[in-house]
Amino acid sequence: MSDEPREHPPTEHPPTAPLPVEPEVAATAPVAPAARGCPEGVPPEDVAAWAVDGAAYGPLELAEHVPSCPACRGVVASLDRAAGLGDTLRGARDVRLPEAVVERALGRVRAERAVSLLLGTLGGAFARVAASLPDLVARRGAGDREVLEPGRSGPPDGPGLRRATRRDPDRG
Amino acid sequence: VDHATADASPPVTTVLPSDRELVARARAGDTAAFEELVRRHRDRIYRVALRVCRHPADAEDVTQEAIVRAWRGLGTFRGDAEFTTWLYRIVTNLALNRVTRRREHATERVPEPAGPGEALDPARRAEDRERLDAALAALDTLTAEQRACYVLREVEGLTYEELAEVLDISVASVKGRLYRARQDLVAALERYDATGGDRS
Repeated sequence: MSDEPREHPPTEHPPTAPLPVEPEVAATAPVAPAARGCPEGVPPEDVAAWAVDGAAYGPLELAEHVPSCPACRGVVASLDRAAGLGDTLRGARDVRLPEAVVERALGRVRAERAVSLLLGTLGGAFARVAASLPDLVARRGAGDREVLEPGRSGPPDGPGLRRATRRDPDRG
Repeated sequence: VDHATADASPPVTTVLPSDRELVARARAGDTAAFEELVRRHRDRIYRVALRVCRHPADAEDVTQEAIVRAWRGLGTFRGDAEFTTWLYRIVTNLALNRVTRRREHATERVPEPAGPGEALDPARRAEDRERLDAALAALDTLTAEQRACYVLREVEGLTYEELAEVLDISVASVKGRLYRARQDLVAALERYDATGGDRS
C-alpha cells in the first residue's frame, strides 16, 4: 500500500475509514439461495453484475454458462423487475437544485475567498514588520544608524537595496 | 477577391472549458471558474443527495455543504479521478453522515418535487406518479449505503470502478451491495403491489 496520502474530499469520513459495513456484507453472510446450486460456484453478485450491467466475470464466460445453469438463470430472473425500477428513477432525473441554494453556497465561497485574500494581505504586512524587528532592535542596541547608498532611496526591504552602517560619531 | 468565399465565414462555435481547465483555474483562486463548475454539476449532486437523504431540506443542506467543502478541498484534488467522481464522493459522504444523524428520527415520506419533464396528459401523469411512488417507496427500504450505491449506478451511471472510488470499497463489494440492493428492491416492489401502495 502506498504511503502517499489519498485524494479524498473533506468530509467526516476520513480517507482511511471505509463507510460503515452493512451487516449483510460481512464475510459470514449466507450465500443467496439462487446461487447455491451453481455447479461452477459463480457468486450471484457476479451473475447479477453481468446480467444487469454487462460486467465481465474473469473465470468463466457467463454468456455461455448462464443459459445452461438453472441457479444462475434464477438469479437473472429474480432481478428482472429491478430493471424497470431503474428506468423509472432515471426518468425522474430532472430534479433541480433551487437557485437560492446555489447562491447561498457560492456566497459562502466568495466570502471565504475574500477573507482568505484579506488575511493573506494582512499576514504579508505583518510578516514584513515581524521580519524587520530583530534588525531594528539590533541597530538600536548598537547605536548605529542606517545609511542608504548614495543615490538610492526606498523602503529598507526593497529589491536590490544594499545597506551600509556607520558609527554615530556623537556616541563615540 | 472571391466574395462568395470571403463572406462564408465559418460558424462561430464556443468551446467551453473542460472541467479540468476550470479546476485548475479555481485552484488558483478563480471563484468564477469554480462557480461555472458548480453550475455545471449542481443538479447531479443534488439528485444524489435527494435520493440518499430522501428529504428535500436535508438534500439542499447537504448540497450546499458539498459545494463549500469542494471549494475548500480543491487544494487536495490532484486530478487522478474525474472532478465529478470527486464531487460525488463528497456529496455521498455528507449525505450518509446526514442520514446517520437522522436515524433516531422517524423516516417520513417526502413527496418528490415535480420536474419539468413530467407528462402533461393527466392519465399518463398519474401513471408516472404511481410508478415513481412505488420506486421511491422501494428505495426507502434500502439502507442508506445501498441506496447511495444503487442511485450512483442506476441513475448517475457510474462504473463499478468509479463506485468503488466514491464509496471507498472494493469492486467486489460494489457488486455485492448492488446485488443485495436489487434483490431488496424487487421484494419491496412486490410488497408494495400486494398492499396497494400502503406502506404501513
